Amino acid sequence: MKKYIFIGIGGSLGAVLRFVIKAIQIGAYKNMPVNTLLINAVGSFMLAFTLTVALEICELDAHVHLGITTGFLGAFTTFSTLCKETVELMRHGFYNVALFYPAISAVLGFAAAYSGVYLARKVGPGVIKKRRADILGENE
Amino acid sequence: MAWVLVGIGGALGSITRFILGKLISKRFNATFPIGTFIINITGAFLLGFVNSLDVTRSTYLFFADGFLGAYTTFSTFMYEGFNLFEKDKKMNAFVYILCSLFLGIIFYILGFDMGKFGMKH
Repeated sequence: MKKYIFIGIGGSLGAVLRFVIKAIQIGAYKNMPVNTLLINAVGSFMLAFTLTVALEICELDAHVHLGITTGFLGAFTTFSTLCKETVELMRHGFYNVALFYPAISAVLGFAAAYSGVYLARKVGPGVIKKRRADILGENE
Repeated sequence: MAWVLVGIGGALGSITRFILGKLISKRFNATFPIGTFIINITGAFLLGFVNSLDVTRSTYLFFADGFLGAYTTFSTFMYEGFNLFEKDKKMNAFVYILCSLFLGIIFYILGFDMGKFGMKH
């Protein structure tokens, strides 16, 4: 039961943040929805990082981890909006951008996920070692 | 007020994604990310449908921006794609990502057309 509360709260925050960011006018680059692109890329990085930490580096409290990943980041990033925006681009005749946009989303998203996993593996163990050393008083 | 609608829709959307995702994975082969796949495609379909209708701004905020935006997910999609890639299922990863995007777009259009059809009749 507690799971759902954490996921729900994370989800509402993620959705609202996405909504707020989407409302900011950056002056779209060649009609491309840059806001969604950034949201999805950043969200993918953070999710990959957090999940790798939780699964491989150290145990995160299950509820907290669900709230952050499934809840917040899952809601923050969006697939449906991406589809909608692509179709709208096609409807307006911007066929090149309509092809480029989902492609670059996938490329950046994948690179972001890759980086998140890589960074967690690189930095994680070092942080754990330092934490253990601090606790055991080895750094005094 | 807008953010309240988006927030509540978002909460419901993520919880639905969680529950449905687990149900689907249990029912089918768990190595292929079938859960997220079905969720994303159905979400795209529903968004297309909503966009074809003449709904109030509040309804749209709640259901489209809130619920469906949270129900579908790009981050989990990418992470799962990466997982497949890492487990040396590089072709699966490529197919998964490509199919999801392609079908998502197709189903958005289908949803939209269905809505338009329904509106006329």
